[in-house]
Amino acid sequence: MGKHLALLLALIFPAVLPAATHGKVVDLNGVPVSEAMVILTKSPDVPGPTATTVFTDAQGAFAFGADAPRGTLHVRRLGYRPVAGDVPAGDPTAGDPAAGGPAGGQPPLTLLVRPEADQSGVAPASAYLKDMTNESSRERLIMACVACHQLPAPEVRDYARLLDDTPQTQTPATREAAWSAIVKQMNYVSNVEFGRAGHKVPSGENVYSGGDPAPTAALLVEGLQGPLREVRNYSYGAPLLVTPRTRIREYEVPAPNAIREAVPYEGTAFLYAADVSSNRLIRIDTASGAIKDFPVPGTDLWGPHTLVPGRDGIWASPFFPGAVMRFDPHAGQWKLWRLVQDTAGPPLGIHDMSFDADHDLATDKRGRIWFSDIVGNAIGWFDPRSGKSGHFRIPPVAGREGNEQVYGLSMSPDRRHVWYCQLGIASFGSFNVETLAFETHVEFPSPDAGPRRLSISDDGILYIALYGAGQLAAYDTRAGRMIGVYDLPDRASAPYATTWDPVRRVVWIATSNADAIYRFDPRTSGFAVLPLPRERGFLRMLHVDRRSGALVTSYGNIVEHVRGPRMALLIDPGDDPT
Amino acid sequence: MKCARGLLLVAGLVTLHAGAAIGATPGEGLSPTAARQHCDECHAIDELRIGPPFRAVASRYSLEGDAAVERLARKIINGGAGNWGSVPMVGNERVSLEDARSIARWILSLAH
Repeated sequence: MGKHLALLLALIFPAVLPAATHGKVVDLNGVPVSEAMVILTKSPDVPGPTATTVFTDAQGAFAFGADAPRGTLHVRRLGYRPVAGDVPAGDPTAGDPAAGGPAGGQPPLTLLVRPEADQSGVAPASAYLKDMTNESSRERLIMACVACHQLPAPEVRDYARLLDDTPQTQTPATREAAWSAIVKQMNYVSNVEFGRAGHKVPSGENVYSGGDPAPTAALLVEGLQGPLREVRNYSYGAPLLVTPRTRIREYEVPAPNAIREAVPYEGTAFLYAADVSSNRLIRIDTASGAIKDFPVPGTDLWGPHTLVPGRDGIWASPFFPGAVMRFDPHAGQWKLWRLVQDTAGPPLGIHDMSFDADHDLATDKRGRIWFSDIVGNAIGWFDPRSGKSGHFRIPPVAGREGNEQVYGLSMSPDRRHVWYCQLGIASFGSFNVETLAFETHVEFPSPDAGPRRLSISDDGILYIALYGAGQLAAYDTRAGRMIGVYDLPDRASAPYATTWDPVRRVVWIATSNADAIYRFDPRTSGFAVLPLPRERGFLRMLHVDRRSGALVTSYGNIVEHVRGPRMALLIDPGDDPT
Repeated sequence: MKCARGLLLVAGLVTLHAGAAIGATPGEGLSPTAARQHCDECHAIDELRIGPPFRAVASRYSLEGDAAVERLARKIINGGAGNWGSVPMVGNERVSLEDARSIARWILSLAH
């Protein structure tokens, strides 16, 4: 076999490449560096995940599987920097002497790093908020800004540096005026984005009518001091949960897109990602990375927004107008139900749909799907057999009226209650789907705690991610009592969602601002951290694939203006799930 | 964040309901490059937004010719403050020099 033919075959069939890429990460003194991420970014011309990340063991050793594609290696570890640039990996001739390559597979690689106190570029955005001592200010800042993007994102840090360097912005008043301008710009961007939901954008004096920028600007002045060129002394706040078997596979979706969330369906051969900006579901082949689009029918819909796998397909809801959709992955087809709306009222804003402890779509005993209506501050239902729907407005909470934002919703194991939370006013409660009455109601002391997405374990424990407060709340729905409110390893991490893991009997917490996933073990009340290999890893929902125990999530940098990766993630935590 | 005038946060973003004054489509009236780079997030042709009106910029610099194109292009990319008050313009490093020059030429063409 000629060399060129062998090379060609190796390019076409990368899975047959012999001997995996492996080696060691050491510092300049030769000391092994453990728990370092080694990121293999594949060459554009070969199939596979866009990037695969493994972690070094106590001896600094790492190894990719035999299926690892050709590409380049990059090391990432808090407190270290690579000494050289990216290293080529996966010589296609290795292990094939006939092709002129070295025998016995690829030789081990040595990747050099050096310690560095400045953690910028490796530490997450939340690291820059660690010295913000006023808890209330930090909560309000996260609720205002991280609602859409990480804070401080690299652009925000650039602006802080510009303010620090500019002679005209050396006083608190000029700093505040400068940050006010940015908040106005953000409000305008939000208006433009949501203008696509069918509403026009204001102009003239109303162009920045997203609210008074002054309070947020004052928080930015308080929280973002100095030029923000560097960040030091950040730690993850809890032990890492990684092992040498941990694998993080990232799948990039070609632009333009705005991936909001991704789910597995019947195993992890394919992931399905919701592209909220171009109205399609994207199917990703996890082996090859190949992508196929499934456009949502209907030109007036904007979504899909939320995805919930069910026994009969993937259920999805668009932002507007009120509709529920189901995608059949086998037939590749959509079924769409329009929900009847009050003609005089605002459009339904279906946010979350009822799911069970397995995170599968759950109906009540009459076959009704329940949902949270973020626009109407209501709990709604929909019967897919009859197409009928209805809703029940959540009673106002004294002293916290307005801007309720009913958000997460989950069904109790006995299918008699749905539990919901209200992001904007820091409360949660239950609705009895048989008596059609609101029952439990609980408020968090801080109005900016930010309960976002929740899940219920099979033994009835409700886990709520507190976005603003950076905490996890555990509430026993059967006993009707709060078990605990736990500080997350990083209070500025902006936890978006909790996911009960029925396989491991733990809770996973996806964060928006810390480039990390947390694991909470209810048996010990302890946390562990899975750091992610990329800046701007803005997570939203996280699913556990019941068959494989793999975690599926996505970098949900939605809307065009929010920069950052748009990827679906398939994660093997590297443990023994059972 | 307390939202006024029927504004509502949805899924971490702000949506807009009827009630606010209705106006132009984003990017309308701008050159294609200026629209693509979202210059209208902070500027308008004739009205004062966060930054100065484009026509005011044109009036100030149009007599400088090619030198103005170069200077405005650099300002678009690097940002900075001083000429129009104390609020700095954000840097736009992702805008290419070619695009920045195109935007600068379009701005200067607006001079009366």
